[in-house]
Amino acid sequence: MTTNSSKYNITVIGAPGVGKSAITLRLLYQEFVDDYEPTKLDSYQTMMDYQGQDVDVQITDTAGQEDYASVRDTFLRSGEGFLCVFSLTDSDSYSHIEELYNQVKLAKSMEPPQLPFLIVGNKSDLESSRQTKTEDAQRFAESLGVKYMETSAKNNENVTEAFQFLIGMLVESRSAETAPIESNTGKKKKKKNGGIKRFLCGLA
Amino acid sequence: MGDQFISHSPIPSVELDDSTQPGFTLSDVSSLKSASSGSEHSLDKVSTFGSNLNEVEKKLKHVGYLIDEMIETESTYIKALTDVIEGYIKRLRRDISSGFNDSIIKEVFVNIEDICLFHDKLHHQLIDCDSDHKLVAQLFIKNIEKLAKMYIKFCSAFPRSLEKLEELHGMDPYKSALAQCQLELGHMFAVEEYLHRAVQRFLKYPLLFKDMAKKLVSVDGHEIVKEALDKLLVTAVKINSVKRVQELQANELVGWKGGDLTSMGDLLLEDSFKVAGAKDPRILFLFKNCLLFTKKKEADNIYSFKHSLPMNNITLKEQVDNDFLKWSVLGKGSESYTMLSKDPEQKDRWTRELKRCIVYSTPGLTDIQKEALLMKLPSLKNDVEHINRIWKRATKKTRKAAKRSESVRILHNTECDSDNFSINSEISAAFDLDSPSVQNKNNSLPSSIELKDRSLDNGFDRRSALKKRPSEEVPIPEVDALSISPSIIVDPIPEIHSDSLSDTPLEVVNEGVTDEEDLVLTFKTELSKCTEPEDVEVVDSDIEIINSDEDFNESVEFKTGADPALGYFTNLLLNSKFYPATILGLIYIFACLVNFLPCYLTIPAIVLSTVFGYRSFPAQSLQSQKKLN
Repeated sequence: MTTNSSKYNITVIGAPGVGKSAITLRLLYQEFVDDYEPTKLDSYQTMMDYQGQDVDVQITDTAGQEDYASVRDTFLRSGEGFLCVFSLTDSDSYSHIEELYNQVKLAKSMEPPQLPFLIVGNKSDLESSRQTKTEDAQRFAESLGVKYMETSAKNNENVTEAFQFLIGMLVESRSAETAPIESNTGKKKKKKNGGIKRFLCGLA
Repeated sequence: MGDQFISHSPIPSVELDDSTQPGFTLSDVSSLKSASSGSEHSLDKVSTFGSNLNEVEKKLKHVGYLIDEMIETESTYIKALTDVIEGYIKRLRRDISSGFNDSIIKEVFVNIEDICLFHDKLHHQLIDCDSDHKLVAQLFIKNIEKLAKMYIKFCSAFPRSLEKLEELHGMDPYKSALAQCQLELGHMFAVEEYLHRAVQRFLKYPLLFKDMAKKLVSVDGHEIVKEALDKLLVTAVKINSVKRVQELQANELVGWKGGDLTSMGDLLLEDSFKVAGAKDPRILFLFKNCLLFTKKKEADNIYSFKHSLPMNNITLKEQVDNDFLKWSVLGKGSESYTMLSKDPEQKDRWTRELKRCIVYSTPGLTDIQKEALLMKLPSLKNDVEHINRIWKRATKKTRKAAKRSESVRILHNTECDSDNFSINSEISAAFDLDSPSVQNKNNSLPSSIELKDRSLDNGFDRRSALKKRPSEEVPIPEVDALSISPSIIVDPIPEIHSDSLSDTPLEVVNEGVTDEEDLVLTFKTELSKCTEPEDVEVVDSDIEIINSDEDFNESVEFKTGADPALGYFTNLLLNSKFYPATILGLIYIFACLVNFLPCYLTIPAIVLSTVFGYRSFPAQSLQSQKKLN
């Protein structure tokens, strides 16, 4: 596949009805129509600004493919960056994230931090019907080794930022093919505990 | 290569002849229009109901938007396809120096030209529908088979097309020819992105129709929109499953020696189940003609083949241990697998589909007879919905308990309702295709009562057993050479619906949490009241299964839940005869650790505590574990 240095493909994934298309449309048109939201455009190309540089971004919206894993796989394989959306008001869509994450990991045979993957909790405007706590999602994202953001497609909060962030990851991953894997401080602690345990067992 | 792939990749169950699918012409649309002009009047009638007026109008307006969007995106889509055809295909054909010949073009672009032609027509027809959702739905219903055929062909060839393109991108003269085309078209992205759109496009229609159907509830035209939606969804599933089978066939299924997977018929279902006796979950694939058991290798997307059961030799047992999550299949001989579903809905989906497959693979039946049989299958939908409701209400913690208590209730219920004792209430008389003698014997059974477990009726060939409610008589299709007798397995699940559980299901759940033990005990006594002594043993064994879940929770861990070292020390302190010495040893160690005493004193301390500790450890810990258990 031809990969030009300033062209990136971002694939938007997530459970049905979480606002994948809304986020994408928001980025492209900066407007949210309450009355009728044109939903199902196919794929979009846009120009985005990253640190003063113009980059071409192709956004693939996977709306409609949620139930068809084999078809979706095609898109996962050709995607470069992944915006994984769930709805803060729908805990089912939240629990779906891990499965999606694994599918992407498998399709790309990459893992974070090399894998440009961002978890997005959408519909942050509907605070009253929120089902997922920010801290929980944050912790979960950390456990996967990816970043987490909350957006509102309706109020245009964080939408551009989310895409910018992902593009940043893409730019970096292309410039530095082999980023060193950060050591996990949590692991060290665990090791210490294990040492004490072993010591006690040894005594016994 | 390309030709070979395309011609040798069989696309199951879509064998439509182009000639039978004449193009959709403008006259068709006009005839459709005139046909539905009557219903427009009825729409007016609906609108005149004052209060509904706004509501309906609003809905129709929304549907109008959806149709507009469909038309609008249709034209962008056609534009993209036309670009590919004009800018790539035609140009490459003309330019001999590009190195592209017909076979490469066909491999890369598959049937994109046909697709474009078709959509161009469809686009015009959509415009002619004049935003009438009924006409739009009719248009899709009429064209669905053609759509299905085209997109199945394209989607299944698409991965190969991408591979080929990647190959070509690294090779001259193809590389420069493709780059030249892209440049001339002014495309930001390579041709792959444009081919992707074809895969995406089809799946957008169901989305649009879903929205339309949602808006049109209780509005005129809902039915036909729903029908179009269903047809689109069926096609989407088919596209997906054809792709899936290809993937499996190509590299994902290891150890399969049964030949061409596509000859197994459509892939209908795929799910992960816990199977009794197997440590890791099994991935089951239900093909139209075969049930496949595989194990997934975690790291990569590879399935290793375990067993397969051909559909013409399979018996489904919907009820296992009266647990509405378990079901099992029996093959020829002693092959038997029991599955644990993750929720009742999953079990229902699988058993329903399996029943259909079994009926359809029964030889010697005409399609009409098969349909008739399927129609007579008890519809447990209400009951499944009911169970699902209970299931959803129960939290994770209470589910296990709920499951058990429900099981008990089911048992209990059947118990008291039936005059004849049958704990599993399976009344069986298998379809027997081979031996008429068995069938005769079968028919002579008094009012089809046969006690419980299928494993007992070894005399029958377990072919194509079907489930029936006792009250329903299965028609015996009259086919020569074959003697088919109905297999009747009473399903007690309907009882839940009709009786106890429909009253206060939540109470049952709660009961189960707190007084699980009591429930089981009550059940035992109930049973012993109304059973003959020799059956009690069987009853007991069933309760054990209900109560322990042993098949599925294999690992037994420390009941204390704490780490083993801690448990050990607690045991020592509580149970050791030598505990003064142990405590002394521990104090020594502690003192040494905090530097109260010089280091050389640790050595005797460790020796002391180790010696006494080891002596007392094995016996003590076992005892304490028993207590805890």
